[in-house]
Amino acid sequence: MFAVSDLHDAFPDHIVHQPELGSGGYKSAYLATRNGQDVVLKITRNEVPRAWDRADGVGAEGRVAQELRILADVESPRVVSIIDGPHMVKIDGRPHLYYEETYLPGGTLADAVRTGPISREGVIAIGLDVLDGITALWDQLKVVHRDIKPSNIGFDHDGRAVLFDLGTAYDPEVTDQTDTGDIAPKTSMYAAPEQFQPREGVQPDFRTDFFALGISLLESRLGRHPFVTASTTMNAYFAAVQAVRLSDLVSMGVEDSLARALLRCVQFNVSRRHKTIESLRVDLENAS
Amino acid sequence: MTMHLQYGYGPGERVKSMASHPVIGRAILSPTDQGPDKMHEAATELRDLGLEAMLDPQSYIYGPNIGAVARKHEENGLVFPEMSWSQRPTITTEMIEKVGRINDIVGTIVRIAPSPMLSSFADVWTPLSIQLARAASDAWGPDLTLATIAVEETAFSDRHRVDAWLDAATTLEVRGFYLLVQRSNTSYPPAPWAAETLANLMSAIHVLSELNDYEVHWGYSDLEGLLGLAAGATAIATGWSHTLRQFSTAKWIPRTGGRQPAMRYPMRSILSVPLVTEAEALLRTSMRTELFDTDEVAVRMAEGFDGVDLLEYHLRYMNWLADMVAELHGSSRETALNSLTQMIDTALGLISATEVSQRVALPPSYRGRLQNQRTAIDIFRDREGI
Repeated sequence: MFAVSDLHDAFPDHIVHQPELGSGGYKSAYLATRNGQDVVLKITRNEVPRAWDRADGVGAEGRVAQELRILADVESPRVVSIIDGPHMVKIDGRPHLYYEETYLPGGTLADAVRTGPISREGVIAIGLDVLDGITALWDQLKVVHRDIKPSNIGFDHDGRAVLFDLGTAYDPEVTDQTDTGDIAPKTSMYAAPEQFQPREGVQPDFRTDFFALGISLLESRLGRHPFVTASTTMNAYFAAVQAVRLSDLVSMGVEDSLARALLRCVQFNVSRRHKTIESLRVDLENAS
Repeated sequence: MTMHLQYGYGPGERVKSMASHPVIGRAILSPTDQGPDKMHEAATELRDLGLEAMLDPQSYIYGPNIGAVARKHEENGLVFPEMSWSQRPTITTEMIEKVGRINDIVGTIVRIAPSPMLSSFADVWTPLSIQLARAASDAWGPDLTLATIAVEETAFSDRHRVDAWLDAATTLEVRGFYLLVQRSNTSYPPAPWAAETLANLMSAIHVLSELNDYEVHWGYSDLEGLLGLAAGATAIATGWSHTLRQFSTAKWIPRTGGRQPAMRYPMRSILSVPLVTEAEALLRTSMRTELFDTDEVAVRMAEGFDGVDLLEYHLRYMNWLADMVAELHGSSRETALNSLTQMIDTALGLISATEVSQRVALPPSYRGRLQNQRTAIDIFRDREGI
């Protein structure tokens, strides 16, 4: 987190609101107002976790550059856009990179879930929006987001879901093709099993994002993570994912048709998830 | 759900006899047994009969420690002595070109990609198998390419390895898969499959076909092929001789001698292929009307089994299996599995009854085979929620 006075000095054209909206491994995000428009100001921090340096062959600097390239190239209202940047700025005498993204005034899905379960119709609508974002990333750039989770799904002025934070995306043009993501940054509670245990001969594709989307949508419907509690170990988590059946999801309170669609998303093996983006779209549409 | 004719040596009149069966739509030619001209001729003849020809490139017989020989492979330009798990990309390209060339001559539409034989799904040859499928798809187009999976039966005993392989296989852009499972024991009738292994094979078929929309063509299949169809396979392929009903590269290993196979009499009621002598014993029991069709009882009581020659046995076998494929054709997974379960339970009941009340003891492997199939269906259904 940067000092308020340092930000004020570094960004004289912006009103930088406090506290920060959030922070990831190597960036902080602030709501800022420039020329009367609300934007998200993303600023790289000096400290970069050592474990991420060279993770999946990208490295922190490369990761930022990759995220910016993806944001600039992808054309979809369901993926956040870059408004300005990147630029260099000195904060407290040290150089930092910053850029502006579209501000999502509706908050995040994580905020919404904190207030309780989301209706079936709401979950399906969010799922279809995020699927549009996954489609745009894959069809246009062959990019896999790899970090879909409720805190990376926001809502725009119209209440439509928008995918953001592509800092850990898998981009075959940049990412080492031989690395399938075993040490790449991920969020354990949402990451697909193959992000922990790379499969020989398997390059990540959109089906990896289906897993995280499935977990996020189940969490949205239930108001809690479907498999994880405070005391769940990773082994227990994987065991639960491998053992889950339709009846388990239904008994948790997920409607049968929605449970069927999401059960395929959260399959441990990629080969058991939806084969195509279209087939998941059809399943979600039929789940209402 | 259809059935293909698996070609081998001496198809003769058998093809014409089977071509009109409603579930027969394709034939898989064997470049071991026919040269380019004969295969082209066969493909034309098949087309005239309303069937489509495919060609199994049989590359799985090459590789160390197999010692196989295929009579007409050289003539067909299908010899691959240079195949190696670490082969250069140019060799892979050449292999696809060779297979493409003979397919051009024969005039096939859908083409089967070459593959090495895999001893397990973690075999060093597995990446080459995937690579050959990718190269074939690039050369011939995804819609016209079937990837080959030629693998030892024991590979299916490790479910996690199968699942990991499926994760890689489902990244392939191909029309489907030509599945060949090498049996450890090639005696006939086929030895019982381990139930868990068979269930894992059914699950693999289900994942490929039902969950990923690939065609699955199970070659050199026998009765177990019906379980594959119920799990989602597009087609099974079987042939007239015993070596065309279960896959083994031993078929290509030169041997001296050999003998005429014992005459058998496929029976729908007991889902088995008993020896003619065993069928005769069953005909003499008071359960004959439960074991044989009414017409059959009349004919066999009058004529006995002396007239059953090799040709009749082969055709009877092919029709026996094709009729059962027709019974499953068009059914949902659930209905097909229910029908199969019922057929197996009835057969097991009749086998028990002949032993207990009629004192006709059939070889235990007949019952064992069916019992393991039954268990495999239960494991598969429970696992897949069908």
